[in-house]
Amino acid sequence: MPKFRALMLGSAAIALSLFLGSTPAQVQEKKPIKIGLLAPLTGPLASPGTEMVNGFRQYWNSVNNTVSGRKIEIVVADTTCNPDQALTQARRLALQEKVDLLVGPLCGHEGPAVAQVSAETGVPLVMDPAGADDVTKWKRTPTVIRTAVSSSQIGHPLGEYLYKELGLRNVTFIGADYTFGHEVTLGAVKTFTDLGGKVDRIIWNPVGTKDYSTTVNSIPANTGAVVPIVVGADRIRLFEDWFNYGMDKKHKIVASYWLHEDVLPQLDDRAVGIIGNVLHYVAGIDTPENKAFVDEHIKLYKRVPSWFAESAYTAGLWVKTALEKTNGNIEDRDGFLKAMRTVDVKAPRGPVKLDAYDNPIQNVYVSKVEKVKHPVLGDILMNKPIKTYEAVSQFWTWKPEEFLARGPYKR
Amino acid sequence: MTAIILQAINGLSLAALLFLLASGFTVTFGLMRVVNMAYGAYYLLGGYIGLSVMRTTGSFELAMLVGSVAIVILGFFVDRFLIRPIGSNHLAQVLLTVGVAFFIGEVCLAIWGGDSLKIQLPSYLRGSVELPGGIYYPKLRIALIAFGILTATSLWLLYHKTQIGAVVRAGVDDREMVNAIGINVDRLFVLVSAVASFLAGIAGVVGGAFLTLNPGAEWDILVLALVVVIVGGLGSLEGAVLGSIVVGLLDAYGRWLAPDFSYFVLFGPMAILLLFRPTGIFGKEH
Repeated sequence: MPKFRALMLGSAAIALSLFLGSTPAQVQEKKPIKIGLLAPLTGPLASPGTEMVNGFRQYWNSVNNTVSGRKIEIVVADTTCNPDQALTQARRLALQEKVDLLVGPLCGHEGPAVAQVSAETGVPLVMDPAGADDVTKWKRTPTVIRTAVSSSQIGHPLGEYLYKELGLRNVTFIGADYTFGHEVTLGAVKTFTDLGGKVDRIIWNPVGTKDYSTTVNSIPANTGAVVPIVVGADRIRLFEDWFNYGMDKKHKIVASYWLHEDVLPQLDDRAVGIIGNVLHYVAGIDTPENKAFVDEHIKLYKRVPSWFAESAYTAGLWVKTALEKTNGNIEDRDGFLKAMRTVDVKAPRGPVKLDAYDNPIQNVYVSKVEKVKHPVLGDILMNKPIKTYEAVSQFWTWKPEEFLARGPYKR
Repeated sequence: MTAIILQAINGLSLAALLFLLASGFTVTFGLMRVVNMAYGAYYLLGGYIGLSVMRTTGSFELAMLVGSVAIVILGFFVDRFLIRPIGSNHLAQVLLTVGVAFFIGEVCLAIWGGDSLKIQLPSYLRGSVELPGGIYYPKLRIALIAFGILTATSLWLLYHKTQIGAVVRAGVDDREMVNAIGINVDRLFVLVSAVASFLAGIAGVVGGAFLTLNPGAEWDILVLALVVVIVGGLGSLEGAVLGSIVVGLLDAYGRWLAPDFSYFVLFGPMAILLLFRPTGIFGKEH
């Protein structure tokens, strides 16, 4: 990694000197644009945090860290997935580093803390990938826009999929017991029960639950399917206990948020054929944009990108597209935010654009785990979309006012 | 009825793992009044080392051996060069060993990365056995319970039926007196501490196959081990056995019957117990 970084710095320096040599006047008059990236680089979420930084750098390196003749400088700050730390680091970036733009944070509960800094200082915040529904619904900040996803946005299509496509009438949810888990789970419960489905049980587990034996053995016997929403290390524990207790012979499993690209290397062929995610991005999306992104990511980092890498990559792409429209003028904050709100972006995950509440309208993919042969990584497991819900809004099919009047999803 | 028994076995398998960690913690405290908060990190590091050994050699037994011996060596240096110089100041010990735990955690993150990793099991421990009545039970958990019982029995025999055990017990009760009759308690402590580190390392490798290894796992497991130690009574081996079983069963039944209150089910009874017996079930006044 350090070697790679040195290499990139070196080549960037050479590129810069060549550039300086040819057109010195142009570069001197344009100040670089400084972007502060907030990600957890230590602690339990260091892995997605690192993916986020990798995805963001991957994008900017692919365009020579330049937009409209201005250089891009990225300052990374470690939030440790702790709101206090996120707040301190965001303030440091805004006030001391004097960044032009903030991108991040990762953890849902860090989101409001960083949004507060954006409101205080006026520095625009591109929120990625923290999912808290609030940010683009009840507690909006004029300088904050989201380029990733709202939690319940991926839950709503799932409820419909369970009822209409799979013909299920009664299901059991295994939900992660914190804001993100509540919003995804209850979003799916809402659309499923509105159609007439019945929820047999919701088993809430604290994040970091060590032992899933109790959970899998608490599943009601006659339930139609089990729908897990689990995060972090819990994902592997559930996978093991699911098969160890013979649940695969008793129940159907249709996951909402479970088998992401980062855990797939830890699993085995038992995962093949499982519907592992209903999500706005999986690595197996079959478009030229995504293929190029995934291949480049694997080449650089020797791993298949999960949605965290794609999300940060797209945040970069989105910012660049907006800046090109305003001729790189990040100092005009209103102009930049307006451009962010109006551009159409062709991201690896598909077409994206913001709704009137600053949340992306985007596809949601139901995906299945498949075994594929990769030229670099060999035999690997991969999430492939089997059904696409196109242009899904954070409000699903409801009117925004109706949704907002109903209030947040809460246990 | 089946569910009640099944959840009991689930609870016991977690109890077996917790016992491995808690027994070392409690006896080192009892003997030396050393509060070592780094045991969680020992567990994690032992697990990661075991993971690397398993990946290169494919031998689970070797993974357990190398993982635990590495922790014995590490534990020795931490005791000798970090904990001993600061004497019996508990606050300083806690701060120091928490620092050591953070340090180990960061080193693990730098080497093994932030992904959740799982130690592959040897084929004879993979899968499950089918019990009568169509119940599947994972072999690993059965092996874990057996291993826990074996360890508890060996420790009990060592503690109660050997001369070393007698000296350790005497040291727990009255350290100055044991010193005064010519036994070097410091040297004895090296031995006890080595056993504790060994068990923490083994727990890590077993836990790595059972629960996965990831940054932060050291604190998750330490909190449960502390509950075991506090419920059972600091310094008591029997307390560690009973504490592990209580915590394991409360965890399993709690999350089965009242999943919404799973943390309360674990910590509520602990608080009530401490109100009436501040020293834990088997603890003595120190």
